[in-house]
Amino acid sequence: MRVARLALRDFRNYQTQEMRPGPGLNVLVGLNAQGKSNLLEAIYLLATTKSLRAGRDTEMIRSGAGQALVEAEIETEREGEVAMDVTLTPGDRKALRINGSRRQRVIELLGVLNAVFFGAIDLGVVCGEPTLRRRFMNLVISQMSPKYCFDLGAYKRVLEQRRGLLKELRDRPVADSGLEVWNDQLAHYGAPVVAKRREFAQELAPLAAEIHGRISGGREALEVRYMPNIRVADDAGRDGIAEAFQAQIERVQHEEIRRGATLVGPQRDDLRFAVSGSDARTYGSQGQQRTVVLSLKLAEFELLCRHVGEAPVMLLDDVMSDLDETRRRHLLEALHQRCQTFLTCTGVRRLPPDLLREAHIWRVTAGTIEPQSLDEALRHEADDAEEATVP
Amino acid sequence: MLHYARPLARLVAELEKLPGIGPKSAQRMAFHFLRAPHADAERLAQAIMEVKEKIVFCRECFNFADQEVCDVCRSPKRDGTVICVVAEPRDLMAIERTAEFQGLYHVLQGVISPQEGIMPDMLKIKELLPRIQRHNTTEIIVATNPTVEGEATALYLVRLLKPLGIKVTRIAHGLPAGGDLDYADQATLISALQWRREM
Repeated sequence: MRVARLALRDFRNYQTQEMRPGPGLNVLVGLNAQGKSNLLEAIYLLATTKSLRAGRDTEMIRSGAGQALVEAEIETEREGEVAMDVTLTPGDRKALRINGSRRQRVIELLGVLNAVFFGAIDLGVVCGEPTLRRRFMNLVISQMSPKYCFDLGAYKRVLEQRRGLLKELRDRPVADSGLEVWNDQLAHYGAPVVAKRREFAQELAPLAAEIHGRISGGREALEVRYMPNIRVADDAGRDGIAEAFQAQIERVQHEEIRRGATLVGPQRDDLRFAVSGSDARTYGSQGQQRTVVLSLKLAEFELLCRHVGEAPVMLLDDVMSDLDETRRRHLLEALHQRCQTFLTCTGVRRLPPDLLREAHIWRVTAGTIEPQSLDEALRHEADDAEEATVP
Repeated sequence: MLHYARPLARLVAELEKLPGIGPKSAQRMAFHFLRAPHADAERLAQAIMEVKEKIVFCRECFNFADQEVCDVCRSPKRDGTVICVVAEPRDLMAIERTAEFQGLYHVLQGVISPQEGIMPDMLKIKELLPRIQRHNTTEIIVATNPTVEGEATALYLVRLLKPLGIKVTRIAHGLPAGGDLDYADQATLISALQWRREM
């Protein structure tokens, strides 16, 4: 699948811009803070309904504008051409349309366009807090399973209600509070979330291990393991998970009331990455951690290819400067001629010349996007370099 | 800056407090009343006052009523062995419009929502028990919304009533009748698949 046309209005630093990206590699080149990543974010928004950055959706509206619009024509093998747009209005409201018809729920957008984002934030998946790993799981699984997205949404809602109740019980105990009902609901929506994450990890692990083996030249072995907070046997079904969930809730009930929070469940899950037996998060070198991230992202790409039946759009946000020559080559060769890629960078010189010659190059300057030939791009860079050396 | 004459400003301010009414709509409505015949305005004012003075909660089912007991509860044609539990009077109205349900209703006046401080004891739940006894009720249909809160309220009723040997059923959720599968949103389809029935 690919983005055939992208139009922005009052999105981040863009007033009105339109581009028709090429089918293969699209290089977005420009100085920092010109809006390169914002373009990736626009595509990411269409794929996931989410912003790339933490914070409120309203922040994606250009300052001074009333609302933002992201519009795209997507070409897919399954469904042909699909037109989609998302309008962001203050108060974090999103309105979306697919082929001109208005959709009520945001999750209906999921699965129309699939995208894999790879940027600085992803290093956090390996060496950051567990919440970043849960976010990684949620985003990938949501693209493959709307049901997961639905269950997760309901689960979070139950968590909030249950927190309200636990706090109430802490402050003034009531005999008949209905806590059991919320326990039931927690297990009911939590069990399929756990089951799906386990399935996801089981499928991701061998893919990531294989890719990692190739990049490291077979010297290291990567192991990806799902660490569910609810301890269950590997072959336990949804009912089994729900039962285990219930049992564990009961065990911590007193502590939960004392602390006013739900203490067990998938909101405390984690993923563990081990390189040749030792935890990549604590013991890995920076180089090793980057190789793990790269392997995970390429495995995510392969997984989406497999589930969706066609290649997702790849969004590479300034990753070239973080990767060494070998890893850069692995990444670009793995994607070459397989998918549409958007790659941001401050200069094209680091990119392999043979790939550059086939690529579409776009110069991004203060909220404008202009196509550029390779020669122009190289000349531009030479000028920049000269200016920089002039005292 | 120009201001409305004081009585007009007061009307606009009052109308703006209504649910779903913004400043623009409030202004339009106020101008409408200015132009409308005197009798129209009086009828509206009276209707509002009458609602305030005459509408009470039915002491049986807690629906709105203009007498101590509402029309449904007073009707000899209604069958008390089946009671349909709803969250709000407007849900009762919705089911009543189908003209299919011949049992009685029970309005909880809300759903359980600890986040907003709404606990089971704040709803009209305990009031349901004597009614079940009095009418020899055998089935309770729970018709709360298919939201997390509506579902929690339904589960609470199940836990309360099942031990008493009363059949508790839940209204189905899934596709709208006469609807197009193609047009259904994913959440609805997921639930329709989950609650499929054998044929």
